[in-house]
Amino acid sequence: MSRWRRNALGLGVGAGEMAVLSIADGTTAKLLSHVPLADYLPGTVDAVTPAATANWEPSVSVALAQTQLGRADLHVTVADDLARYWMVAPPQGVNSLAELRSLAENRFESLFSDTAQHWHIEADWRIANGIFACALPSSFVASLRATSARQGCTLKSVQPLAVRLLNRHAKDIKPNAWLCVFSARGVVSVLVTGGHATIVRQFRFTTPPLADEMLVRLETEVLRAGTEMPPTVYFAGDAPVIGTVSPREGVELIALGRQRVVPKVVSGTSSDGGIAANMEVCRLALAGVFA
Amino acid sequence: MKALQIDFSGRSRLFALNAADPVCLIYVGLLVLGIALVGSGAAFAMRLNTQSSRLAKAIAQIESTTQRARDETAAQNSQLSTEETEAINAAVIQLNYPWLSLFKGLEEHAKPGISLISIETGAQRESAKIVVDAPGIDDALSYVQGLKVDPVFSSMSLVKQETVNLGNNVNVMRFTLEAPSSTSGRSTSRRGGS
Repeated sequence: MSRWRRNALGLGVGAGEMAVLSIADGTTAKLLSHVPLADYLPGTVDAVTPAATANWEPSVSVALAQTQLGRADLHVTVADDLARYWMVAPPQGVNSLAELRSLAENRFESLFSDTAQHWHIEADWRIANGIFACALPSSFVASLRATSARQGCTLKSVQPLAVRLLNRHAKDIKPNAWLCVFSARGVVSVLVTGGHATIVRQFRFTTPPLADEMLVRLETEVLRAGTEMPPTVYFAGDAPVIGTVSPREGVELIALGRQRVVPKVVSGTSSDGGIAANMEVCRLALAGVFA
Repeated sequence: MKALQIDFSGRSRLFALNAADPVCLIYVGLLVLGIALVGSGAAFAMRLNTQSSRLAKAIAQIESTTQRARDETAAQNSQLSTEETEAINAAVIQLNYPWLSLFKGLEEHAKPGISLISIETGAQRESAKIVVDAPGIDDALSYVQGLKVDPVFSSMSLVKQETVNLGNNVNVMRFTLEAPSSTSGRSTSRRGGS
């Protein structure tokens, strides 16, 4: 590796564990550390609200301490289970970013019946007609920033999975389409109209839906919004049962990222003979570094 | 569609960009261009400053040379030549001609039958030419003798005598007298001083 090029590490944070990977070469990724969250955040697994109020400092510190980060660049990808998405429609007369932030917080509280003080809210404030906003637990974000600064690595990016995949495939997505980002326990669907995100919905499931079932959900959302069903639906992430054969005439199904070569994950520690982390969190970690 | 600008890392958008991103390259290019412009601007300013100080020195040198030349010219001008001194003195003498004493003396020595026709100065105003009419030569000589008693007219001399016909068979004697001013001026000043 060039002396000028810093080592890129990916931290994947799932609902139940977090793992740090590095890309060894184009076909292999090394698992550098793996931390089951149940040991550090009791009661938070599969429960979003406790995660917002939990203390993430020990788990983040342990995960990063095991990797000897040094001068590395750290890319963090968070499972959508831990994130919340919503749209903010700014009314006329809003003149400052502070007002927009306040609106986003109020919208968050009314949508999720939860106080916004434990959540770190970020949004793409540029969009005038509709602002795409998302939130992660404040404690988690603060722990990441503090720990990475303490260990001397550069926190390059922290994004939830749907935002990361949407940005990665943005150039391939048509101006009018649905984008569905699947994870192990849910899907985030974003309606793109005129090149901008206009609707975002987060569905949770225990078993992944079939294509027809998924399309029904999307059509329902389109009806609720009073708009038309776009001709293209993109699928990204873990969507094993969603094929490319559309059950609807006039609706095209396109799977994003399927043609990519996903590197094989091997253990980076000499004492660990096998792969302790599950593939979900490994894929999250890879999403940050394997562009 | 457009990518979402959402990131929780807290880094600035500029530094969060990927190095392979063309936008990032544009930013870096602009930054480098800006640094180059600032650097060249600073070098240009330093060069201008050097030139300015050099010009200031040259101007000061020229000013001092000019001042020196002006002083020398003034010094040369202050030393008058003999001709200039004489001309100035002549002018002073002309200005100092004792007209008041002359007129006063003429008034004092006025006689019946003697008519003062004219008084005029010479070309250089060094003398006064007095023309009088008298009924006869005796009256004229008596008048001149009386004037000569006065120190103002002590150097006066009769330079011309002629008979003038006034018409109706009336003839008068016309005398032209000349009173040099140099001696009379000096004597006047001496008299005034005593």
